[in-house]
Amino acid sequence: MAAYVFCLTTSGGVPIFARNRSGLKSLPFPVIGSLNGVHMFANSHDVQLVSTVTDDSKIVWKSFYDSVTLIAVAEDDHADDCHMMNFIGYVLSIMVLLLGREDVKAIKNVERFKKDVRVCFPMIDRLIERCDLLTFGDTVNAVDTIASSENTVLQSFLDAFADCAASPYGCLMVHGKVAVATRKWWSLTSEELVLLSMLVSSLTQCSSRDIPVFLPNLSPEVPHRLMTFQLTRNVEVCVLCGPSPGLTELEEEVGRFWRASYDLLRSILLVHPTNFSISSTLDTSLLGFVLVNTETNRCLCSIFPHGNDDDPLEEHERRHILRSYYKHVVGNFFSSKVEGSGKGPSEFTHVAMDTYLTTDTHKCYAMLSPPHQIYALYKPSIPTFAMRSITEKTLFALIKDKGVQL
Amino acid sequence: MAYFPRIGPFYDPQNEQQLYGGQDGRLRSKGAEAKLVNGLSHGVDQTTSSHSRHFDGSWTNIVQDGGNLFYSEPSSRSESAYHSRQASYQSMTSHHSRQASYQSTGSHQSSSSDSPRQQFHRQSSQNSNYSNNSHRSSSSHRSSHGVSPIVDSYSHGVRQSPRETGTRQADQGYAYAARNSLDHGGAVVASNKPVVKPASGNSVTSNNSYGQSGKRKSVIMVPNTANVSDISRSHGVELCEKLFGIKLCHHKHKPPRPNGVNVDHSLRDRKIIVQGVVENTDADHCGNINRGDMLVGLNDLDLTWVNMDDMLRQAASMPQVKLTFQSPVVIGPKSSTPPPVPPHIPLHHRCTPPPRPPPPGSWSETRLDLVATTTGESRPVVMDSIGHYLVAVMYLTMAGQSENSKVDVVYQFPHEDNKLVELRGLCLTLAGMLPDVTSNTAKMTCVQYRGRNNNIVYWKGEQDVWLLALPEESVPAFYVHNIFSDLIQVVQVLYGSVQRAFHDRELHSKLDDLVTLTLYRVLQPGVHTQTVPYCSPLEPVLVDCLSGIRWLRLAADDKISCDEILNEFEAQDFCDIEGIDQDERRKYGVLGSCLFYQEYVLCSHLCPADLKDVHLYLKYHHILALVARQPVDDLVLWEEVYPTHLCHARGPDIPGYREPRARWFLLVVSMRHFLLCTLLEAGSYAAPVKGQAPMFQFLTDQSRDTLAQLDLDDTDIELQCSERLFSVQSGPCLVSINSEKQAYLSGNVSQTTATPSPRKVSEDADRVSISTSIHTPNVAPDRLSVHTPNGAPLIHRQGSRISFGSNDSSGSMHSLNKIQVKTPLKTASESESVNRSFSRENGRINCDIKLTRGLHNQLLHYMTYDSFEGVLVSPSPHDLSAVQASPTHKHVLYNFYASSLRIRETFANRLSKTRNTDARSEGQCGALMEEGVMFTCQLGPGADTKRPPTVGRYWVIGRHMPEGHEMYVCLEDGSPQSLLELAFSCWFGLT
Repeated sequence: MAAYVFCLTTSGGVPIFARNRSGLKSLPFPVIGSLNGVHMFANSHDVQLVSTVTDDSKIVWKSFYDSVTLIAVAEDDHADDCHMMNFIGYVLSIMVLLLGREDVKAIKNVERFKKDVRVCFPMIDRLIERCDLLTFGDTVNAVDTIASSENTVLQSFLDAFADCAASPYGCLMVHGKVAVATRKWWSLTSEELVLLSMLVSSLTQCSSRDIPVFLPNLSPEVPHRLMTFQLTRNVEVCVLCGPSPGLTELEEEVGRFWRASYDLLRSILLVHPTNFSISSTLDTSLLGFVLVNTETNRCLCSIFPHGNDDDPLEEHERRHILRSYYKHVVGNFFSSKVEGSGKGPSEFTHVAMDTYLTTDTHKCYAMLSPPHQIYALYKPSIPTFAMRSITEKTLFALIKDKGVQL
Repeated sequence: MAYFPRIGPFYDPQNEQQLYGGQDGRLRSKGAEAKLVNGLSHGVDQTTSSHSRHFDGSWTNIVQDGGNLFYSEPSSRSESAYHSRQASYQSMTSHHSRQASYQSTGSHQSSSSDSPRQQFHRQSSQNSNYSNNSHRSSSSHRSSHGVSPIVDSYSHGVRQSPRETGTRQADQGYAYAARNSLDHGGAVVASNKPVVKPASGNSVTSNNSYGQSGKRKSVIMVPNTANVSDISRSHGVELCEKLFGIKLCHHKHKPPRPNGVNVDHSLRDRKIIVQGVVENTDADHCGNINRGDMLVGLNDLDLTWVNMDDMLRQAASMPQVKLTFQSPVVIGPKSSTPPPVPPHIPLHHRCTPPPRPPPPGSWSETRLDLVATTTGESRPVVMDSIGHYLVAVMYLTMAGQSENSKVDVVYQFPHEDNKLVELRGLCLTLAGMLPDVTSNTAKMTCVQYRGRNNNIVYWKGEQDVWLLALPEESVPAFYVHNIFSDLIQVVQVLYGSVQRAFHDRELHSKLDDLVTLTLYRVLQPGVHTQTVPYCSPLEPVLVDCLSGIRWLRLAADDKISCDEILNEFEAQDFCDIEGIDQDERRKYGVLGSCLFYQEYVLCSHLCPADLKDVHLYLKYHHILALVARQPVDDLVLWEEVYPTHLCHARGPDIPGYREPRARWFLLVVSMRHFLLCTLLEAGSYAAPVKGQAPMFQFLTDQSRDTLAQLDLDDTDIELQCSERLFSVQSGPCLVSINSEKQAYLSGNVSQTTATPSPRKVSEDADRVSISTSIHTPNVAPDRLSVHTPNGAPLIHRQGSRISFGSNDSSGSMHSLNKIQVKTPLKTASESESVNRSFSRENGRINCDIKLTRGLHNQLLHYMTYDSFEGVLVSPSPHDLSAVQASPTHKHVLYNFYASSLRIRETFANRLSKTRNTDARSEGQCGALMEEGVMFTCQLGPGADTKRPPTVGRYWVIGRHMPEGHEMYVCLEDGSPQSLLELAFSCWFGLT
């Protein structure tokens, strides 16, 4: 995945920040400068430099607001450019989320901005290292959820707490994945949903925090307060508020509202690596899946559908395969929430509904069933012709289940 | 077995002594006869012509002096103002050359008779004299001999170079001759237009004589009716031999083929070719009728195979008959570099192209020929059509870079600057800098200009960058990579290395041609260039990307015939070989040859890497498209090549064997739709060639004759080929998506209960093929929307392959061909399936399958590729163009090709990735991979508008086999899994 992200001012080419994946040497400035230079050179000729591919890497350039230029270098996974553009868009949105659009649009003092932008580094680093994440939200542009049978009960706890905080926006996160959220929270755009989840999980654990955030789509210029309270380890409740109530006021209320839910929270934590608990069982050949609802911007992913099994495919391999398969399919055969992903499929005159890929180590199957999309990973032992019906059964078993809200 | 006409006998042991000297071992030659002295009093020396043995004339002596051989002649002959050395073409009847009118006369020397004039060269002699050769415009040789054949020579302006009239220093003359002969290296000219240039004696602006067209010549003869017993009953070929002593290539009338291929049509186009002349006849004496000439007219009327019998019968009663012949044109290639002096002089002038002075501006002339000839359009039109696109080919160097000047541009196409040329600094920087960032060099850059994406691909040398930029909307990114890597290979094969090709400015005009033709081809796939319209604009793209060679599989007999014809040619054991000097007989070693028909390979005796080189060369010079479009008779190409597997990608040496250090040459000769490509080697067991190698005329002639053999009698390959291509045949039968599915079983459908393994099914299919095709002739074809006029489901296979290394493996050839003789997979195999592939409903168990003919047909389109065995498409575009496919089906095909392209890209990427990551496990880089996409489409509302429109679903599935074999299949959703497996195993039956 992304190995380097560089940010420079568009007008002067002043470097704002450079982040790289851990383990890589950082590049000297002259190299960054010439990477930016070619982009500026193209711009001066009315040409947009979009991307460059080398044998194993891909480099994309993009300028935003005529103010900042972002350059990303990543391992080339032969996916459509739209995924890299999506990634770059997230980097920008992180800056907007934490600094506000005004500041990013017009950088008054570059030195000061360089200092301000440091607050974004944890999130950007997390995005760069995203192949180590258990979540897929940033790739599929939909927020990760965790589905358990306790969700309906927890919903009432959350609604009550959000009322208390005088905010319609409330959400309960388990391991960075949304368990339940208020209706208004779900009305946020997919980008905001993903960013807020990422923000919460990228920060070091603490009992409570109060962070000003600019919602990149709803209120990019007026900050809101994001208050989070840790209920138990890896479980946090978040609310988006205006100026009141204060953090201390609300912190006192947390115990009163959530103490009764402790057992529920314990049980939902057990769901964690599997990410779902449903009544029916899934096929044993299934090694993992990504289920996306493009209307509600939610996705459910699992790489342990049967708990821990002893398949030769390692956990990170499964994540990597599913991620790259998603990128391979979207923009190639399917379109989805990722911006620009419709370009590739639009070259076909008919709509692709199913696709699969088999190799000697695994098999993948993707199916469109609007508004749902499922990308499933199977053992190589599954017969190819059986994948379609099994995928379909899996899809319906998941979306029909009560505990799964997609 | 095929019938092979013997071409000969030309070797006459009785006359050997006449030719090869007397007892003293000295070479002797015979002077020309007075009967051949023409009006211009050019002396004609029949130096080594085997024909000369028929004349009783004075012998001239070859004087040996200090290692050099000189040729002296009687003083009476030296009185003539011109001492000419006849290239002996006219008299070389026994040598079956079909060379153009190379009548090169010697320099007009006024020196005395004992001056060294003609050198008979041995390999060792370096400091030799050589008489200059020039073209002589020969007009009307009039012979006083016997029945006085009158020869009208319509040769085009042959003039003597001014240099010839100048100083007669033999060394200079030689150098000049050598240079001129070398000027033919490497160019392609093919033209049918005669360009008549005014003969201008010793004018300064002399030009080459033989250039543009076949020479026409007429001979007036008296029919010798004494030989003919029954004129009215004799056959035309027979008559011709008896009346005039001219042996024609025998062509037997074949009974009309049952499939209705127009035999007459092929007859009409077939040339009447002189096979030889009968000794001591008028034709022999006149010396102007040569083997390989085409007999085109009789008494100024066109003569064809169709009317030959009648016309010759009429001619028998005439007192005098005028026969018109045309000799084919050989256009020598040209070279750009001033050649060093070759180490030896060819003994026989006709083995080298005649020297011609390099006229200024001749470059543009030849260039124009290449582009215009192969595309069929003039160069401006071609350039104009390319000019609509934003394209660029640039070769930049990092050395000596400076601002605002173009010193960094080594090569640029188009020559006018465009936006991309302005951006070259960007590409140079990226190419130079990216190794610092990613430790790899740049491969491709995408830029957007005015809302349109342009892809730029890179090749990076030490200091240089070669760029190709193409618009994304016309050429998908994946295709650009393919084109570029192919282009690199072509350049490497032709010039040895990319650096050399671009840094040598002399080669730029050739590169221009290559680039122009490449762009023309890829930017307008299938628009102008193809005879057969493609069923989808993406088909040529996919076929191109597969980088396979398309084979046209002939029936076993024909295939063997082709192989044997090539074998005989490769053996270089020509029966008239005694006509030339021993050192010249096998001047080059033949590495192998291959035969193309249109775009398809018929048979190849080249190793796969060489075949790929040759194929790419022909493809990227648009030559395959040219022969596919129209018959081409006069194309001769001669190029020095650097074969990939010998020069660029040498494999590990086999212990005990090393590839020789040698030079390689490619000779391409065309005849109609055939191309014979021969890879020659100089330097290993053949004599080494230094400097620029002239075209080996003798082999060119032999190539022509080899091609002519294809056209004879029993080995009527062309007819077979066109039959294969255009007649109705059975392959996997494919349907249109609209075909209404209706399950009713035809009478002969037998249900079997077991599901055989895929492999077994395909074998069974082959076995049952013939019987089923008898049983089910055109059963209920109305379900299929791909129809022939008579309703038979149309299918055929278009290309396939057979490649057998050599004739030695004929045993295996037979076994392989056993199952595919003329009836490739007429399968109608039915079996019960276990379950429907990908079917959502599992309930239906008892469904019948048919791969081909029948009603319940679910296979829509089919394509297979093998890196070694080529590409097969079914149904062929020709089929589809013959029938009006429904619009929906056109969409299906379009999507099939579009998705196959992407699937192919996936395979290629995954393969390269695995190759990169685990280089240690090289053997298993090609794993089994399969990718499928299902599309849905709304079929037409149909008659009943109230019902919701039926939804059609179809799959496009690609499978990559470990051996590098790839197949792409389009089939309807719900097709039984066994059908899919059958489709994939079709390949086994087809090879």
